[in-house]
Amino acid sequence: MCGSSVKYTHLLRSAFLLVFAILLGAVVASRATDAPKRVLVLHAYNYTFPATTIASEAARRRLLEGSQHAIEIEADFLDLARMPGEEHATRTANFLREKYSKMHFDLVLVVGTEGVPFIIKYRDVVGAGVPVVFVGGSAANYAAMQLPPDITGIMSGFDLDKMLELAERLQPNATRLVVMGGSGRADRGWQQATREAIEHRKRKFERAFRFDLTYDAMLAEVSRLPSDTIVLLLSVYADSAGRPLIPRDVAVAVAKASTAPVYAPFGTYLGTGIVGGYVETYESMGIAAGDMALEILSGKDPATLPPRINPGQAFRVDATAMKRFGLKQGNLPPDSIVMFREPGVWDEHRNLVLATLFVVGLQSLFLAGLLFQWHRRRQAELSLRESEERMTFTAASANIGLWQFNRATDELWATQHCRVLFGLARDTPLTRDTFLAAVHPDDRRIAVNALRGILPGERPAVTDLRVVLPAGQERWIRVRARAYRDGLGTSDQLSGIFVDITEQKSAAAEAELQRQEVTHLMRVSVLGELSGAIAHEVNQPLTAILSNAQAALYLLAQDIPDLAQVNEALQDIVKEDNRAGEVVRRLRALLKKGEPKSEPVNINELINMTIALLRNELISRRVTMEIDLADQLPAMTGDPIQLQQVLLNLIMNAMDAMASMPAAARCVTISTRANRARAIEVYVRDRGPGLKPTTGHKLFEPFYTTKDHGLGLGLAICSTIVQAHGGQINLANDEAGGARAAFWLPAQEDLMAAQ
Amino acid sequence: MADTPRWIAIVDDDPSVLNALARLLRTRGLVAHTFPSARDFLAALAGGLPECLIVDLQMPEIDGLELLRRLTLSGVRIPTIVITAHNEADARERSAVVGAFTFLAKPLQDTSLLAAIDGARKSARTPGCRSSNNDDEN
Repeated sequence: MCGSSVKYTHLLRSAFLLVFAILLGAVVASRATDAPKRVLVLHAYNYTFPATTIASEAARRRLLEGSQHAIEIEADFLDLARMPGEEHATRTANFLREKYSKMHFDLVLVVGTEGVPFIIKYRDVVGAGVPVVFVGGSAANYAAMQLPPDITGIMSGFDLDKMLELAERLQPNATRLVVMGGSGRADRGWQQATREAIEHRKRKFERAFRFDLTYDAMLAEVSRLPSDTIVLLLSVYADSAGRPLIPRDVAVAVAKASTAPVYAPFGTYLGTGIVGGYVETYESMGIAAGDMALEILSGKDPATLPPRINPGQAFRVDATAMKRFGLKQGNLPPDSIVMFREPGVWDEHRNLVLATLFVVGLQSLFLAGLLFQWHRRRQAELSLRESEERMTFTAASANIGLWQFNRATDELWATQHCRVLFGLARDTPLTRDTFLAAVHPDDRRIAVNALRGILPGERPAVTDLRVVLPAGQERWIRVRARAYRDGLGTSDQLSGIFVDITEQKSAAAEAELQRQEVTHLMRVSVLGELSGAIAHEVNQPLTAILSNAQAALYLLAQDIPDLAQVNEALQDIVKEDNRAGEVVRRLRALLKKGEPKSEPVNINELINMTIALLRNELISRRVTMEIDLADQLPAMTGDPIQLQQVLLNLIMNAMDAMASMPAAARCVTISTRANRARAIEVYVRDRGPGLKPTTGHKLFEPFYTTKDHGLGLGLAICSTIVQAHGGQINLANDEAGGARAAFWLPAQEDLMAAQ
Repeated sequence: MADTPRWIAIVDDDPSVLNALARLLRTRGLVAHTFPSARDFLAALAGGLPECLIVDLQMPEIDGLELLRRLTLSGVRIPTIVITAHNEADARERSAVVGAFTFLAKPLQDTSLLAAIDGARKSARTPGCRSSNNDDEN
């Protein structure tokens, strides 16, 4: 005891010296090399895999704490388990090359076993010449891989033998052993090693190996085992049906379903309900990898650092799981770490404590109580802080800021990532007012009202705000907030998240703008087709004006001007000028770009206006027009220009359809009627050859066309416009021959109800 | 023959244009008769031929060129000025093909119109004016 404490003092002293030296070194170094060290973290899987998440987070913390340089970390998920196959790997490698083409890294940290073959294979593409530190996998995984000298890392020391020892000690009477594992690539690596480990044990069991089950079959199997069975659960990245799975989630389900104790060689499974194993925590893996990365970043040649086995392994068991299966802590191997002790432990030892209480007295009890409380609180605080940090980091990687706010006191807690989202400087305090100051002035009232109006128990309130960044650009932030009652019964406590939705917002705005643009362009192009007809419409009144004016001028030049004639000519000029103005006004309305409007619309009037525009086109194409408009149509609102575009398109289509018919047969019939469902129906019929049966609904798809010179957008746009008005459009063959386009628009219901 | 009334026919489906052109010609002392369609003009032909015909290219039912074609087919020759508000590239050629005397785009300058009328009337007095043998229907 005494010797070891001397050793400790010595160690402490050297540690202090070392820290001092590092600090000193850091000062010198930070002057020498101000350039930050860049680390690329590649997660072999995605964020749903706790093992890699925990390990990478521990490594990240270690790097940031321990480095004498500023550290910049970029991170990506390779997602190799859920997206197997070479195609995905190549695509991902190319993506990374593109993404980081302008960035130099000092180190690549690969988290997760499957990341190692990936980085070896794509070394030329991702992180060429950059040392690699990996985390995860066992020595057996890497034996066959022939790691290049600048790839090193921390390996798991999975000890199947010790796991079996634990199981045998805890279940001295067990006779059956069931080994269960997945069918994925990473899963198969465990099978042989496990078989061998079992062979080497002295105690023999009736064995069953289950590596070929579906997920459901696994759960069914463990749910009917006798309780004196030992269940070993290996990794399950995929089941026999090829369904990708998250091993820890499988462990949760298996442990819950199992009627016998489950053991596993993985630290991630602890806390899922399995009894335990000889395992390490992934946090210790991450810390060891962080240490190794620090060595390399400070200049050590990776070739001199061979892969190491993580030293942090131990017998770890779950007290709750042991209790569930009636396993005795007395049977545990020495130095076992018992985790997840419940407050119930206190009950177990109550008698002992009561006895001690009598002996030691009240003061001791008080002290013991205090100590116990202190321990519990410290544990709770530690795990709270850890889970908070983990959550904060995960949220930040998803570009989400978390916050809590008390409406009564204006107290605000927010994660550091909120700073980034709101463009707040490092030294700005995070208060309600600093956040509000970053919000766009026009949106501040919305922000304040939103927070004020939330009631507890309601669904989260969602508000989108613009934030003005220091450089002046705007960013859209979505605020989701929820109120809940605190201990005092008031509901002033709010919590929520900030999410950057600038991209969605601009994509939506862009799409709407493009839609308007295309609609407008189609109108312009239809009118372009009609340009001759339109020139005619304007030229006719101009002709009358010019001839009248010249006649009047001539009359006035006479010795005795016939003023009555001059007067008539001038009257006609005024009339014709108005007529020309009307044509131009109609055209301008159609050519105008703008947001859709909603105003009272008289569909019959629109039809007449459209036909007026088309009059000359009808004549030159030798098409007659029959019009049958209903007198009493219900009122409706809409965008007159858009609706006129629909009419224009449908009539032009009808004319196009009859181009090959003899002139006498070319007739377009347009009719309206009110139907009983308070809707206005409009029909445009032609007497062309009709629709081919195959074209059917495709006609309304963008870029589908049956015409030689068509863009195939006309009907798609008509359909969009009619649907935006709450109606529907369809195209069918008419019983009388030819095609019939029909659309209906809903009447304005409020108005009808009010009348 | 000297007592043959000298008059000019104007055929256009647009009443405003019809009135304006007639007014313009009358101020210059020309006699103008107006017809709102080719059919109306053809029906009136039995009463005598005009010295000159001004006809709109685009009209419903029988358009200007069709009218000229029919006249040619019936052996009736009237020097014709084709006018159009729809100034298509090939309108001038198509008019020439069916034997029009000349072609004018609307709006019409009084000087060009009067010069064209003048030219048309002179050509009527000169026998053997051009004819067409090429019927180019599209």
